[in-house]
Amino acid sequence: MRWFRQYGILSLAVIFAFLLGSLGGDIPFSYSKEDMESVAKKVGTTTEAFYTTGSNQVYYQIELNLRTLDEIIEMVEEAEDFKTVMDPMVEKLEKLTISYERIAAFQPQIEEELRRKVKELQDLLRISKGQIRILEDEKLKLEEELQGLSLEQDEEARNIRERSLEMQIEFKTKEIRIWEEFLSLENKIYETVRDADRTISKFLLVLSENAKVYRGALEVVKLQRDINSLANFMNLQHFSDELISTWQDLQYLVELLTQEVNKLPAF
Amino acid sequence: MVLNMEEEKEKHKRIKWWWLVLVGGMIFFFLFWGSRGWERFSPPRTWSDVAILTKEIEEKGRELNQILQEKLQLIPEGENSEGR
Repeated sequence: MRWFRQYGILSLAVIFAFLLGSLGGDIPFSYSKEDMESVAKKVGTTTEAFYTTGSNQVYYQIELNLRTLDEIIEMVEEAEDFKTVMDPMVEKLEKLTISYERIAAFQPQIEEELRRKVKELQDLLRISKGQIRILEDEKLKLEEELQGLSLEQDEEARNIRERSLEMQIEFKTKEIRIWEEFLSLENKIYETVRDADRTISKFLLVLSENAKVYRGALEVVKLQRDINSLANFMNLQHFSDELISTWQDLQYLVELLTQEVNKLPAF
Repeated sequence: MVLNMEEEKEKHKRIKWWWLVLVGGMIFFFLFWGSRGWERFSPPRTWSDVAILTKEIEEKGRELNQILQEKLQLIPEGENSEGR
């Protein structure tokens, strides 16, 4: 009997805790400073992850190409007769071509990963939008409650409730405004990342096309042993400038987004 | 005499260990370098870094083009193509 009582109490406690937990699920989500902080942190890490997705592999290949180009320049500068350096130059050009072809091979996977990061940012944007919508609903409920106060008989109680509701509405409005500013910054980051995604895709396309140009030049050099065909480089300047400034913009925006969190009081 | 031999053995043993550590270290270093493990400790490169490097490539490409053009001018016409 004692055993039954002990386990009975324990079971009741578990059931009560379970019920309390399920009740907690119905309580609206708390839109505290921590929530905004968490979204800001996720936006920051996703943006950083976006700007480093696949870049290491491409960086290594380009670094390799830079060294190869240096070797070619040194070779050409020191050469008294082109015929003597033609074979090692073809070898270096082949190395350069293979490296660009490797970058071209990375392209689909990198682009897929970049799209995934853009999607993650889009989801985070949706979370912030959802939070604003819920806050607006809460504000609307408070306003309705305020309007319904006219039916209250007790004047003193009505005044106290009125003042309290007005303050709550004011806080809610402020909270919504801060979340809207946050959303606007988040949106700017998303748009910048989306533009950067397009630029990186174009950049990768140029590098892939470079691989084809190099392969073509290599075939001609191999066939004709003609140095004119070596002087064949594509212009990457425009995309490079765009990508450099984008990262600076993004870093600045993420910094602003983190600062926005501090505007919200801790609830 | 026995003691000397023992000491000698001990000395050889110690040297063997040092050799083992040295060779092991070298193998580790080559494997680490070969697998580009050092990259784990360096900060990840951003697309901005890639773009900066690409600009350098572009400059080098221009430099090479210029050198090639200069060299080409020094070669009498018709001699720059060997043909096969």
